[in-house]
Amino acid sequence: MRPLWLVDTTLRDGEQSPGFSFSPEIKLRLARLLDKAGVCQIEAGVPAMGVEERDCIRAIKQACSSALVSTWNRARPGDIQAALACEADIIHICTPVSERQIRTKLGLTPDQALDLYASCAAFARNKGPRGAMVTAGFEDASRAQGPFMLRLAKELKAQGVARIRISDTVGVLTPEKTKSLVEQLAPAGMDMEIHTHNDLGMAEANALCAAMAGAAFVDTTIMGIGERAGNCDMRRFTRLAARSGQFTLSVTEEDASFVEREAAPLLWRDETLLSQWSVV
Amino acid sequence: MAVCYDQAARFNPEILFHTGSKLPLRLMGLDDALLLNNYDDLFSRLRKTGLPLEPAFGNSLDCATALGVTWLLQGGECLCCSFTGTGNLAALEEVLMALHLSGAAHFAGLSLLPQLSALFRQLSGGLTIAGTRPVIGHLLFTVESGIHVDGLNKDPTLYEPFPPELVGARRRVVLGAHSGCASVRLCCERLNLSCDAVLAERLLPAIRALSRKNGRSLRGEEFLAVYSAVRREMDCAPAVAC
Repeated sequence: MRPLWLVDTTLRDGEQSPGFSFSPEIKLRLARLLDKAGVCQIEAGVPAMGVEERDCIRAIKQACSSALVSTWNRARPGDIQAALACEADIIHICTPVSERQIRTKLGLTPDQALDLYASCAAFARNKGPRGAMVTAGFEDASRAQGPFMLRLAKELKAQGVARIRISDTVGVLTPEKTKSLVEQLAPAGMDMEIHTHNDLGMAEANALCAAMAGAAFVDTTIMGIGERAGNCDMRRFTRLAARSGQFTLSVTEEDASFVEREAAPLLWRDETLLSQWSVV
Repeated sequence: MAVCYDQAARFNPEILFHTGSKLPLRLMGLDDALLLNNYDDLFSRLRKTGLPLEPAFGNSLDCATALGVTWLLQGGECLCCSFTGTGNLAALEEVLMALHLSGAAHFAGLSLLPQLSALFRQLSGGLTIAGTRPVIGHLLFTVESGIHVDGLNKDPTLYEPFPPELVGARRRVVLGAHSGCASVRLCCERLNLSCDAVLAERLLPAIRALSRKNGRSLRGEEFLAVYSAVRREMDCAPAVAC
């Protein structure tokens, strides 16, 4: 049996979905629940959002006894500077990898993007607190070219990045494609993390397939909250992983169910309101 | 004709030869825990029978769609599924969209899904479909986060697996704690309110604070109130001579 670690992103990707807005108090309550349940890492927020967010991340770090606390950051020196102020255990840098993300969103060529990501990783490693880990998020990996991702992974590894997150940003992976993606990146020799979305109803199945192919970390959210159709649901995933009999998880299905029951009243959103008014 | 084989995941597909059937054979009792085992081997042996097989994967582990799509992409010709996955099966709309996006098949009628949803609600006595239900949920194309709205302005495909029009839906943007300047300016533009970069920067903290305070996105009238208040503040602020 292989260990499988859960990275919970309820407080970042989950809260980012429309209609949710957690106060610092609610974020702390959710973080304590996740910490107690045995989640390995809590993605606590986005430091670049402002002072209140940074204060909240610091409070979460103080409140967690075993879970590592990470921050989500764009590949911008200013964002990473903001992350350093949070004194989190892990600085996660989002590194878009598909051509459409790199060219359209960032306005860069793939080579320029690679240089930017490498310099941001080096900056975070050199300026970060002693012992802080840097991880990279391969945004839109499901629509990216394997050779570019492998090249980037090797470059980031050379800069001290400890782990890469394979993000199915728009939720279009299938089990076979997921396995293939993990296998393509395995030669980089880095820890791998899978981040799935549920646009085709396969978030948990794809996450499990990634784990079976070698990913040791799986991103989840409580009740699967997240953009569009949501993320990989923690309770559903722990049930699936336990049934496989191939992994040891620090969060049991019972733990995940407990977290879900306790968190459910905090995760309510007004869907009617979302349907009534829109900017466009 | 439907042939039921309990615990089909453990049966020997070669036995199907003896049916001599040329009609579709529906295989019931296929547990979706099959995803955790060697499904490739079973799928291969099923295909080798050359019979018109129609697997009905169960969904007790939420893997029926994943298995069904894999079966079809590997050459299976039929699959038993149901709209919204009712009856513990693979969800028809998810399977159709997965095949459509993979390029394995083209479905021209996906824009009719809202009508199918309405019919489903009517025939089921009012069962609701979750707003986040894959492919058919009414909130799938509602966006709040600044990074996503900015991305949508540049190219909608950045953060959408398929365009809303494909499934008869439309894009919506709401304002809240995660909004960015792009959303604020877009909102003002649509409401015919003047807004430059400076004003957007001033509006944003007020929008975020109100959203955090209320624990939800803003209502239209709340945004207008914030806009008026911030404009008043700016108009009253003394001009600074440099």
